[in-house]
Amino acid sequence: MQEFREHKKQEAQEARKREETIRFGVVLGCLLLFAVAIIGKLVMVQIVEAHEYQKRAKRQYEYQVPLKAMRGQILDRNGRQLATSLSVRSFAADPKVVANADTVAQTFSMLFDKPKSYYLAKLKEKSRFVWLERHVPASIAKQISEKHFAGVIEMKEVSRRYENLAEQVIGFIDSDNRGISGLEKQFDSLLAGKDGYMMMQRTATGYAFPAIGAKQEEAINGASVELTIDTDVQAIVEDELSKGLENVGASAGIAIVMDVQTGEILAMANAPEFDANKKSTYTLEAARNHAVTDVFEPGSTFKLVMATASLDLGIIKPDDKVDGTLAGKWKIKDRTITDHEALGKTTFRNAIAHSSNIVAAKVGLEIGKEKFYDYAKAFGFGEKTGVGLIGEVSGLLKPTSQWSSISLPWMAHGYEVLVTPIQMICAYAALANNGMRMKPFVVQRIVSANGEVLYYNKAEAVKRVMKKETAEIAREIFKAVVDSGTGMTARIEGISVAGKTGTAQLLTNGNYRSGNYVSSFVGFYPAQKPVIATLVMMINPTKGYYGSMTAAPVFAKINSKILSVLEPEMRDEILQFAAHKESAVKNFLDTTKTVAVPNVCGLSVEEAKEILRVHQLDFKKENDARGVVVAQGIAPESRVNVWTKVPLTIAEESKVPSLVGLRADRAIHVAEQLGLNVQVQGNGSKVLAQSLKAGSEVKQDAPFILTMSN
Amino acid sequence: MIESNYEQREGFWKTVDWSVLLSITALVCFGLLAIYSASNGVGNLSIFYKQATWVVISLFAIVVVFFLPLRTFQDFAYLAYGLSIVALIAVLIFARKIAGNAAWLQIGGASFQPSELAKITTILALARFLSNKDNDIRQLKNFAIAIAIVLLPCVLVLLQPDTGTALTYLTFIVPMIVVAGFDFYYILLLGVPLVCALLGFISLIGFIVLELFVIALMLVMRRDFTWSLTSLLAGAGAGIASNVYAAKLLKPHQLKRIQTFLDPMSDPQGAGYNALQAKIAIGSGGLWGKGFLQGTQTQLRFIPAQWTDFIFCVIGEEFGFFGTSIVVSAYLLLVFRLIRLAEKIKNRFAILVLTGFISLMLGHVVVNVGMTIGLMPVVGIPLPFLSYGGSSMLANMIAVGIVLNFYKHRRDVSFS
Repeated sequence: MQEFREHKKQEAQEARKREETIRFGVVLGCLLLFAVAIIGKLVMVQIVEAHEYQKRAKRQYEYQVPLKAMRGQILDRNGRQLATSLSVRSFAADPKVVANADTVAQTFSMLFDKPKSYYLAKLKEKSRFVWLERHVPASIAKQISEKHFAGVIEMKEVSRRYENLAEQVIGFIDSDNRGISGLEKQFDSLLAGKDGYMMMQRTATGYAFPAIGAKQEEAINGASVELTIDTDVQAIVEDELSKGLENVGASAGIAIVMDVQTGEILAMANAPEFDANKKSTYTLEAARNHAVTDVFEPGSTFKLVMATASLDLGIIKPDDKVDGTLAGKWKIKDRTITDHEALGKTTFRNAIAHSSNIVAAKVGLEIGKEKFYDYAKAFGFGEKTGVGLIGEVSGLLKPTSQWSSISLPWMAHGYEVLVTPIQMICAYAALANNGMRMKPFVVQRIVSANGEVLYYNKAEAVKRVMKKETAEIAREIFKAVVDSGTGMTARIEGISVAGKTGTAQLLTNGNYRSGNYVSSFVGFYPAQKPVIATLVMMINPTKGYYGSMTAAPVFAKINSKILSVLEPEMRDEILQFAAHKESAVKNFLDTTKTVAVPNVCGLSVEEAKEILRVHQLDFKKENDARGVVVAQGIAPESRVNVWTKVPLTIAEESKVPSLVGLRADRAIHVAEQLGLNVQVQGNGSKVLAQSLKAGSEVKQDAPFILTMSN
Repeated sequence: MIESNYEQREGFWKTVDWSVLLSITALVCFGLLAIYSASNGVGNLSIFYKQATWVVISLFAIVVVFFLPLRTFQDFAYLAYGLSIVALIAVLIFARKIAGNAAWLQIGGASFQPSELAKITTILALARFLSNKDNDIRQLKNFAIAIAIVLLPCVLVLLQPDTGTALTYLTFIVPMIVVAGFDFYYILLLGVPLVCALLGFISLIGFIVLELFVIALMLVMRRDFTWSLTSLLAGAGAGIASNVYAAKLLKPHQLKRIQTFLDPMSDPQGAGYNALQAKIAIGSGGLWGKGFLQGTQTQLRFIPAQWTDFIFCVIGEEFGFFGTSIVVSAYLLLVFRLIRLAEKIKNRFAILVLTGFISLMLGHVVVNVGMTIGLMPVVGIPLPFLSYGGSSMLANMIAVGIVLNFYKHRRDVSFS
């Protein structure tokens, strides 16, 4: 019994011990299970999937900020800017980081006068980058950046500024800096340059800073495009064309000025104009460069082909008698050709001078189909001139196989053929250039940001159209047009001009509509040894329709004015045949050559000097200081004689300048340059008042309130 | 007398558990490094200096507790518990709000979180109650008292409201009453419906697997058939009910936490942000880490609460798997030494206290580390010895002091 109990006790003890061991094992097992779970998961996260998490982390804290390449400039033949890039501010947001979308939307809504919901919708987008407002005026940009909204990104963007000269040639860009028309589109990739980037690190709280030691790629600025266009010539052409357009009540006008010896286009203008700096104002029609994209039935200006071909072939001589009929009417194959001035029997020279359609038709018939076609082709009609502008069309010169029995006489006086303005001026330039047709061009060279010439054009002869002697004789005839014929209104005082008027009914959608005309004048001078050719075309004039009444006067005005701004060598060439005393004219022209004054306010004295020098202007300091220019004595954009001294008022670096009356952006720029803490009141464009007295000491970061006009 | 003889015999060297001290040292050092890095990222090193001060204070506390007479803990357990309860009530009345929780008491210049120390005093009080041979846990009255001892501070903390900390009070109650002799079978009976309810919400499949596992377990245990069946049926009911209705009963933010635990990608910017950022930080650390002060996620402040609840992320990012495995190993070593001690010691009170400490520590580590690597839902509790926070540091160090004190007396005759 005792033994049994002992045994029992022993058994119980053993059982308890066994149980304890099991318990201990279970506890250890559980512990191990936890340990294995945690270590296993750590291995998973930190070793197996580490790469994935590293990528995720990088994506989260690193991002690229584009370093915007400065778009290249478009310059005229003298290096003056036609299109330049300015640095402006834009605001974007990273909706994921924006903490107080409501406040942000409220602020933007107040500043930009758009509904709050507009911004809220943008801030709810899934993208990590949305534009809020672009190209914001400096005064407003300041108000936003002062608020330091987390997730709102302030970016320096580049905005394009145009001189609004030759805008249809130069074209413009869209808000993403992509060229969408003209040269801007054509050379977009060269002008745009290559954006670089900078790696930024961002904190979870929305602050960003450049990553230390991270990759960075500098932006490569765009190449600049140098044109053959001369700003001064272009300005005069545009001015006179617009005035002419108004005088004759035309719907549109085209003018081209060309150097006949080289093919360089000195000016190419389309009226009406549009403001390339205000994208909302342009229409597709106004933005088109009609000089190369549109075709017209030329009318009498096309008689060039008939006249030169017949002379070149020896069919006729200037003084040969031709019959213009006494009635001024001539019937051929049931169709009647009419002259607006019955000439009767006269010389060939006189028939051209008075633009006889009948004589043109008759002589045309004598030349014959094939020869006529060959000469028209040689002049470049029916094919692109290769001027190097987008949108150029080839016009229409039907092959002889498609001609009807009356095609030849009708083509001889300028119908049944479609011609672009650039083709027409090139044809006349060929006559002017002793029968050698030159290839026209507008782009002189393209130079990369580091000075490498990427592309260049030089004078290039395309084809000899006629013998030199023929050209000399033919020029005499076309000189008669201006001296005594229909082109008398194209005369330039003291200089012999040759040219031809043209009037044709306007072909609209394949039909002639009575009362709609295209009037033109193409001419060149000096007739003895031509230098410049000019074409003026008025579309749909309502006050008179003859070329002599509408286009030729504009030709005269343009060319008498551009003489004063042409390059000296060119001018000398023109004036050697001038009727006036050479030196007197030269002196007169030298003193009257005018240039437009650029705006140099806000620039340093050195910068201002350089810009004025490029514009052929001198300067004089109004005061002795070394800061930035705060005022200029001659208002920007006014015209003054070359090398006029522009008075410059310079701010002392430590003194508050007077900014009243200055343009808002310039004033803000000047004040910021001096280290003043600018605050702006009002949205106007001119400074009305300033909070610190002019002449007081500049205190760094002192608030400086500029009140703007409204 | 015997004590001193013992010391003379074995020398001071043998009176201290050096493994415990080693693991504590490793953890505290890692903690200080991580807090330095995290506060450096914010540009405010005062956080680091505060923590360093608390470490010094806590080390002093270890020494004091180490040299206290053994009986102190048992004798003063109820008093300490009572004081803790008073402090917790005081918190509710006077506390200042920090991050929405009223958990801190301002004493002089320092603010103090009584809920941290109360964990230790609650364990001591429960251990004293359970170690009394007269209080048989199998009697309903005693069982109720034991549960009440824990629930009282737990509810007070819940009122602050600090759900995370309140939950940690539940980690040690089951192990302690089981060690005290409570039949595990009853825990199973009660536990099945609870766990089923939880699993039913999270995963229907997990819930079914659990039910099958419990059926197998009950077949093996061969206990009362009716009770087993009732528990199983209650479990099944609770699981299905929670699967259907829980979504409607929980508060939205609680629901979201559980959802994002299950799938952090479901809301990467909102509720899942913390869980995801923690994982990205730890994962991107890789094998060797990005180096001290080189962690992009830490220095750029992507990690939420990076010097408190998510301190493990800083270690994971800057010291990699190398660092995290050292930390996990240190905890394992500590827990293992505690289990060994509990196994060797014969004193019932000490065993119960050790059981409580082990459960508490394991609970904190598993939940905290688990949440940072996506094993657990996000619960705001600190990582012992590492997280910033003086109260937590002091409480844990006092616990270590008690453990070292027990170790010193492990073979003491009067102790067993």
